[in-house]
Order: sequence, then C-alpha cells, then structure tokens
Amino acid sequence: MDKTPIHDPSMTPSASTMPSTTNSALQTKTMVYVCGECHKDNELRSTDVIRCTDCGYRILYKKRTKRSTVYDAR
Amino acid sequence: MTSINDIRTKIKLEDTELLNTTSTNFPGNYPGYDDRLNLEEFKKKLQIQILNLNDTTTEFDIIGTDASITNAFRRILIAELPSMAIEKVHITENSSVLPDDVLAHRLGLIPLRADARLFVDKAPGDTRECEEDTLIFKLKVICKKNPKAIADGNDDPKNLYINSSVYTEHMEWIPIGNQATKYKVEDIGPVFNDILIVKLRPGQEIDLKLVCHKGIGRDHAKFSPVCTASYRLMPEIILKEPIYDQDAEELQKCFTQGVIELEDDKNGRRRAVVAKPRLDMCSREALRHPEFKDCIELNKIRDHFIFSIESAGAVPPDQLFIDAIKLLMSKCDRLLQEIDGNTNN
Amino acid sequence: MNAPATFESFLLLDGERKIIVEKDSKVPNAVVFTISKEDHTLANMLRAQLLKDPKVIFAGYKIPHPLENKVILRVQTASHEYSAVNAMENAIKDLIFEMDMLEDRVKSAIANRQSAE
Repeated sequence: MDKTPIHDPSMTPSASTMPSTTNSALQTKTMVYVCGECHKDNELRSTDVIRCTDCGYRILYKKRTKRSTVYDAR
Repeated sequence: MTSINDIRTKIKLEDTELLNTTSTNFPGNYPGYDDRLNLEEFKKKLQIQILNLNDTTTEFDIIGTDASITNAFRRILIAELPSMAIEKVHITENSSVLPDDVLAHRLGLIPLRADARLFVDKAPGDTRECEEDTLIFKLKVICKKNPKAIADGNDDPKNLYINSSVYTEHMEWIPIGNQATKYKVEDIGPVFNDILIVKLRPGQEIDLKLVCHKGIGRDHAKFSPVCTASYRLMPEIILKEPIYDQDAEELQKCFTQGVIELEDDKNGRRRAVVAKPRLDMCSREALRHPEFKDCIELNKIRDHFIFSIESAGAVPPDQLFIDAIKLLMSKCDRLLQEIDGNTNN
Repeated sequence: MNAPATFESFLLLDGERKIIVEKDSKVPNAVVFTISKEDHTLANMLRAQLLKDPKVIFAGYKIPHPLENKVILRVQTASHEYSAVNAMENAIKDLIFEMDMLEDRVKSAIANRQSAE
C-alpha cells in the first residue's frame, strides 16, 4: 500500500480561488505565522518585516494546512 | 524398542531429538492396521473437553483429530476470521509529538467492540462511506493549562493540564445512515476505554476522523480477532522404574511445578508419581541426568491437542471457534461446488 | 513500494477461477488441482484427508512461490474407475462431515459448561 498522504482533490485550490495578485489585495491579505522562539501567532502582510511582534525573533513558521490529509492506518 | 503402536500415536522426546513427529497412520503404511478413514470410529474417538472459558480466553482439549485439522482452525482464527479495525485516518490537525503516519498506525491497532458479522466487506479502492461497511469515529482533543491546578509543587501533568493524555474513551462514534437505530451505543466503540493513544501538552491538539472497515488477519494483523490462538500436544511422562526419596526430589525439580508429586508408600519411603502431565512444558531436563535417563520416558500424544484462544475482545472465544468451524466448512463447500462445475464442463 | 496489494491474497481477480483441474499427462490416473487464493490451511488438511483413502496412492501439495497465492495439489489414484476427482470429492465430503461433528461436540460442550455454572 502506498503510504503517502492523499489530498482530497476537491480541496486543492484552483486558479480561481487563488488570491489575486492585484496591489490592493497584497496590501490587505494577511497570513498567520508562528514565532520560532515564543510560539506566538503573528498576522503578517506581505510588506511587513518578518519579525515576531512580541519577542523580535526573525524565524517564523507557517501553520499546518487546514485541509485534511488521509493516512492508511497500517 | 518402541512398539509400532507407540510410533503411530506418540511423539517421543529424546535428549537431543524428537522422534516420530509426523502422522504416519495412513492406509498401507503398517501391515495389520486398518487406517482407512472410518467416520464411525472418528465419531467415537472425537472428544471436546472445556477446561476454562470466560469472555476473553478459553482452553479446551480436542481429542481424536489429526494435526492438519487442528492447525487449520488455528490458522483460520488468526488470519481468516473477520473483524473491524480503523483503516483510514483523516487528519485535520495534529500538533502532537507523534508524526501523522505513526499516529495513524497506532490508531489502526486499537481493538474495536463492533461485531464484524453485522458488516459487509469493502471492495478495494471504494472510498464511499456506506452504513453497511463503515464505522466512523471522531477524535478531537485540545490540551490546555488547568486553571484549577493545585499549586503545591505537584508537577503531575494530569494536575497541571487538561487532556494531557488522549485515551480511547475520547473517541466519539458518529453514526452514518440508520446506524444509530441499528446499533446500540454500548455495542460500538473501542474494547477498552483506557488505551493511551498520544500525550499532549498545552497548545497541542489532534482533530481526526477515524474510518473503520471490515477485514481479515491475512490483510493486516490489526484485523485478527484473536490475540493468540495456539495449540500444544498433551505431554505424557512414564516412570519405567519406581524412583524414591532423594532421587524423587531431584526428579521433581526437573519438571514444571506440580507435574511430579511425592507419595508415601507402605514401606515409609517417598515415591515419585506423575500427578499432572498437562502442566509440563516439556523441558527434557530429566534426560540430562544419567540416573534418570533410562528409567523415564517422555512422550507427547499425537491426537490430543490442548487448544487455547485469547480473544481480542469483540467476540467471545467460544463463538470465535464456532465461527472458525463454519468458515472452514464453507471453504470446503465452495471447493466441492467449484470442482463439480469444473468437471462437468 | 512494489509490494503486491494485500487483498490479492484472498480476493479472486476478475476472471480468475477458484480451482483448475488438469490431468497429469506423465502418469496414469493423476490430476493436478490448482486452487487460487488458498494456502496451507486448506491444502494440508485436504492432503491428510486424501491420504486416508486407500485408493489414493499419492497426494501432495506445494505453494510454488510465496507471492503467488495459490496451491498446487497433486492426486493420483490406483485405478481409472475411481478418479482423483472422485477421491477429492469424497475427501471434501468426509471433511465436511467431520467439521459438522466437531461443531456439534463443541456446541454441546459449551452448553454443558454453561448449564453447570
């Protein structure tokens, strides 16, 4: 059995659902990153400095996908 | 010299080898013996004696069958009787220390209480979730700091945090279709509620959907309805000469406790007697002693099986054995029909 | 990664026959049964049962490869009036009879035990 996780194809973002790259969208679209030092959630825009607002640590991590992945229990 | 009768019915244990291990009682092998299949005689010889039986384990004797039949039952119990187990794990969130695939594998091994006879097999590759072949559980647990934690230096995680350990009791059954009316809540779920799945710390969370299917042990060991199913042969210990006092005590020590007992005889001496050969684990230690080597004989009786079944918990062991017989019968029936169909063409 | 799917060990493939009966051309009155998706459980039991038949002069089985889920059972009888297929049918019928009896005995043993409690 293939052990690689299977992504639900209906959940894969298509071109229409991808964030548009117009200038205004870039300004408002925020992403949540987790601080590598204090584990605080940081909401950052693409123009922001990559830095934790709390502790100033410069290494931030992306959160895990909200999509569900399917594994074989084997 | 071993008699022909002994060769036919017993396995002999020597100090460095086992003799007469295979069945040889087939027609034409021994002059003067009629070894044709005699169903009347089989009927007479066949015996089942139950020694103990409870919800999870049983031990019973099967007397009068061939090892090939007993072994078929053992193999069927382990590998071919169906049971339900978690097969797919949909992971929405897993921030625990266990990687997704390890967690999924761990969940797969949890024994489930659902009766597999009420479900149908799932075709490979079929991903639909039908009420006839699928059971669904939800497992969503978030670990938090305990605001009511007693601050007296007690650093037990159970005191400091809420949900620091995820147990099988956190699994919540989600009925699909009319499963809610078909099954009772107490009939569906893990066999034990206190199986530890994973440990969490504040901020960590798991959010899973567990999809259970019906399967057999040949596919994966998690589908096996038994923990163990095994048989051994009945030991037989023959004291060819009486053994007394000091020697008797020495002999007693060679066997599992309870096998040899000391008995006072008329002359005031203590004599060794074989009390419970069943308990013997066939160590052959006695044959290493030169003083016993020629006055004892260790055998196993070829058609006396001590069969033991330990159920995983979904179905009681006696029911499992009956199911195994039925399955073997249906296999034979199928074969008979196929042969008929094949030769008529 | 290239392991065969586990269900291949017990599900018949499309168009696959459960049992193939072939005459062994090299010796008289011999038949080779190829049974798909079966293993020692059934084959060893059948072999032992066939050997109990005095008219059967050979019965043996092999599993040619552990990844091929089939057994090859070869049966030879003493005369052509009683073919290997007849011997096989009798062996299976006897086995079913024995199972039946065993089931009865087990059920009565369980019932006895439960009534004693």
